[in-house]
Amino acid sequence: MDVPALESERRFFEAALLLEGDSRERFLREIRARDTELEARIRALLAAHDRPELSPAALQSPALASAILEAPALETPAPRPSEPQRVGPYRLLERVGEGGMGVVYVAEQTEPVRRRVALKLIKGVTYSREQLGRFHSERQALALMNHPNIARILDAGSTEDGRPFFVMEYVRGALLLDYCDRHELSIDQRVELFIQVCEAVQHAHQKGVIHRDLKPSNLLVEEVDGKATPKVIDFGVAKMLYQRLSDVTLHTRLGGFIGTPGYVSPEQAQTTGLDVDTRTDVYSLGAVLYELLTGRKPFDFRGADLGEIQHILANRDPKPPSARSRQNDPQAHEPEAHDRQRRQAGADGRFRSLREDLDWITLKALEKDRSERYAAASELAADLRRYLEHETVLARPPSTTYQLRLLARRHALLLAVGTLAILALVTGTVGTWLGMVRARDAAERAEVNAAIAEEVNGFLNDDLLAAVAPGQMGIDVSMREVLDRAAQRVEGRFPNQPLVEAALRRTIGRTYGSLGVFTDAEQHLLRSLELFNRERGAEASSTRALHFELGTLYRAQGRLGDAELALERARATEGVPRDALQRGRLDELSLAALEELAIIRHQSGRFEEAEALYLQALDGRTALLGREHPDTMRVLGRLAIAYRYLERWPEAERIHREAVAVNQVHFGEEHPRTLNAISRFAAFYLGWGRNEEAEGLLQRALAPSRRVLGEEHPNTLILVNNLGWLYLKQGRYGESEQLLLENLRVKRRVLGELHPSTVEGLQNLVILYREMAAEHQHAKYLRRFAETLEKVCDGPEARTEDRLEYAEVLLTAEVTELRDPDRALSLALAAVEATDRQDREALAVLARAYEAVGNPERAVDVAREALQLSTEGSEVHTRLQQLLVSLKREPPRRPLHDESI
Amino acid sequence: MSQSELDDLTHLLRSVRSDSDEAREELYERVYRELKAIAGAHLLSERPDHTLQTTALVNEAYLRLAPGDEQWQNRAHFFGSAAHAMRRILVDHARRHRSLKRGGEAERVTLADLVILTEEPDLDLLALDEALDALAKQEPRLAEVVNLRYFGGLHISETAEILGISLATVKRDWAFARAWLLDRMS
Repeated sequence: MDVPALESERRFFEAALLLEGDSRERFLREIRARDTELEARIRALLAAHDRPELSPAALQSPALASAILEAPALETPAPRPSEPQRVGPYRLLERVGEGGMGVVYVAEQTEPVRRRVALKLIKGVTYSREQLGRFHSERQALALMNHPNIARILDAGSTEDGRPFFVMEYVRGALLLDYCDRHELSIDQRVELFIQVCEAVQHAHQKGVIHRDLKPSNLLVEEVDGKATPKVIDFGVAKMLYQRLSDVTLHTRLGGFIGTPGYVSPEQAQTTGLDVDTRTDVYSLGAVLYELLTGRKPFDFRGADLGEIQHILANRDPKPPSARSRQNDPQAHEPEAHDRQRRQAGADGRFRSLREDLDWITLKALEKDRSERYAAASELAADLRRYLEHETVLARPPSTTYQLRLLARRHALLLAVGTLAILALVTGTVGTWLGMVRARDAAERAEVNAAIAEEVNGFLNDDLLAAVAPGQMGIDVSMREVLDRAAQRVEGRFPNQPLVEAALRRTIGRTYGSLGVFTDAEQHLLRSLELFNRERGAEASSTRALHFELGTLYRAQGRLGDAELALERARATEGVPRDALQRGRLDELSLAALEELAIIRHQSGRFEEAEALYLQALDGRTALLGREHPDTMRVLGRLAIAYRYLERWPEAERIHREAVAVNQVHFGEEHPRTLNAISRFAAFYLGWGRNEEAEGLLQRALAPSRRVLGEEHPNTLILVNNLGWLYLKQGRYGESEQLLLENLRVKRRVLGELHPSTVEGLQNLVILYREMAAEHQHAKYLRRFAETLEKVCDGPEARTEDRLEYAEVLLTAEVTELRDPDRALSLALAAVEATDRQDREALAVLARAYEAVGNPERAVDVAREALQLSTEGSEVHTRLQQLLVSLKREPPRRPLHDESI
Repeated sequence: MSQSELDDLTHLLRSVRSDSDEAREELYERVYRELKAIAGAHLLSERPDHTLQTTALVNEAYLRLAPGDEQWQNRAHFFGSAAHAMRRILVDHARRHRSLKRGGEAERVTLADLVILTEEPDLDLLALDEALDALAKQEPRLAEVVNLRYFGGLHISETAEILGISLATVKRDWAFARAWLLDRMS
């Protein structure tokens, strides 16, 4: 393999790393189209990248010292250490492992009984009398442990030359995880085995022994009389061998034993952590349980060093096990068999609730703050038994802080307090139902009212509220749970009351939609639509309302064509003539549909069409609500944006002026709304290049914004930034610098280093100092800008505009050591891929990156591609043409390398 | 260490900087001896359960050999040597253990034989050694990043400082080199 091949591999590998899922796949296919071999290489590298080995944290082990000591002197060959044949009454059969201080052998005991044992022999280090004395007293402590699930210490002593050894029960078994997988144990069977492990650990704790290194490789399963019996091995050996319990503090102060990443508790992983107590074992048990349930460790520490591990343990929460095992995670060997079993045992809702019980239990054991954990291994075992007995587990409900974190993380998907979830459903359903009743005449109303009310009440009471009966699901019930239950029960429940079913399904569908569960949402809405359509006809407002629901759902899914169709149906009905608008008779539903349609056109760049719809909506809103109503003003604001895209500046100007005036009259000069309208107006003038007007407005709003909203309010930040930018353009550098520096300082403090707005503030300073020709300051801020962008672009979720901005810096930085065309190329490739090759800016940057790495042919191709996407006469178009001209004129350049040796 | 020995070392590090093979070899030997001395002291100390980490080990060796010498060029040579020494020690160790194992050559020697408290049961050290040599022939810097990070136990920032490259470059070098090595070893 030659050197350029490695470089190109690297470039594509890095670009692929920036992409995820489908876009990575597309990217790889694109490579294949050009070079199948390269594609195979990149796939192999990506696969290797995901493997756990070669972690920088790996070489941290007690075994290191002995490995080093055993290393030969540089000149002389290694003397082979003599392997003993016999230790006391034990004949050594096979060396099976080596640890920090000792070597483990399988040995045969000849007297008083003949049996296999495991013997751990201390390596050839002389022990002081004191150490040996300690060793013996510790042996006694170990001997106290007598539990069927702990591999017993059978004997301890020292060899003729004074080397201490331990003899342990030899466990003829398989590793716990392997055993469970091989025997395809169900979740409940796994939990049963695990409870025995907890009991063993509890036993040791009662004897004052902390294991501190519980992990799957220390847990074996042996079949005793045909019954699976877990055995904890290496129990306390590390601790008992080397230190007394009373010495813990002293020893850990000096660095201490760290433990195994993936299982070690946060407090134990902190090298400064002085007091590790039995709850550290509870955490490790939680981690083992997690892996038993999901096939995965709570955290992925691949590639992490000790500092990173400590950081993750202290700051991140593990995903709930059920979320881990359900994800499309082919590597997780989830024991699915159990699921079927549990499903058969009860309704799906009940099953889900059981899965959540296990989530709570596992996460409680894994709490960062040990006071939130189970206080003892026995409590963990007891809660698991409650799970097995279908009783309410103690882990539920969780601590308040935990609940809030979870809520934030899963968005709105889970966990509203039970009564609230029910209330939402009740209100939604009753609302729909009232709407229906209103549409009918008075005589029918009473009848329908009574009938539907009874049905709906019955449904809510018998079918939904039953879900929160005491002892069934606990006090906390998630919205999703209630919803799933409702969805399940509504089917076939109302054969003779289609309207009740329609109303319920509408509520269910729309609630699913707001939770982001689109497929279920669509299914229920379509069924509801069908029922309304059949019972009430296509023109009925309830039917149209369903079209509207579906339209907004499709828009949320990005199915714009479907959305337009549905919204047109919600709007254009025979019963409501289109010119009703002019007479201010358009109903709320049609107006809402109109606005949605306008937004769709706007979003897809059809600004003229959007304008027409906005104008209609505007008239309707004005007639219905008045000009100053926030809903009317919102439509006006969107219209102004459309005008700006159409470069119809004066029309947009008129709207902005009106918006400021309306707000001023209704709310006063210093009201936040007025201030916001002024800043938008000013930003508009800046975009138009009308600097004087912009300045007047900025200055008018700045002082009250600072006073009323405060220095850190987004509106104030925007005003300061824009005024600084304006001064920059006017060459008033001193004033500009002052404002922009202040702005950056506040943004950094309030929004953080990597917030887009902070990055923009930094960029403005780079531009300012470049304009000022302040070389030193410019270089300083440019460096900082590049560093920040590096952090921002690190990872697959980076924004396209940031990647392009960074690529731009890497291609053109005046500080030449910042230039890195290779990196720019990776970024540009990722940006182009993320925008489906449809973004001309991204393509333009890619073309220049190809040029910079010395590939003018590709540069020309890509520049042409970009040219086709841009309108003639636009700025991008001109730049691309210039690029093409220069590419054709200049001879190909040699590749630029930044730091490769 | 006596004052004259210290002067000696400073002198030695300077000569390494001036690119003398002899000085480099000598530095390597000193570091190697020092690592062994620290490991020995470690096992005899009153805190034998203390987990020895490459990071701590290498840094301790540096402090013992070169107190007060904060010049980064010197640090770079030192840590380079230390990482190579660690690699040699571990690879030798693995090689010896392979010959001890029944069956001999055919068996892979993994870190699991060596290190019970790590999570790298499947890493074949000898294969890694070989792959690293191959990588060094093509991209010496990538191999050096792996040496420093993996065998020298250095953090990203230290590696960047010692090689005089940016943090981001070290991260990218590491990611690519790691994938390349693992792929080659498989």
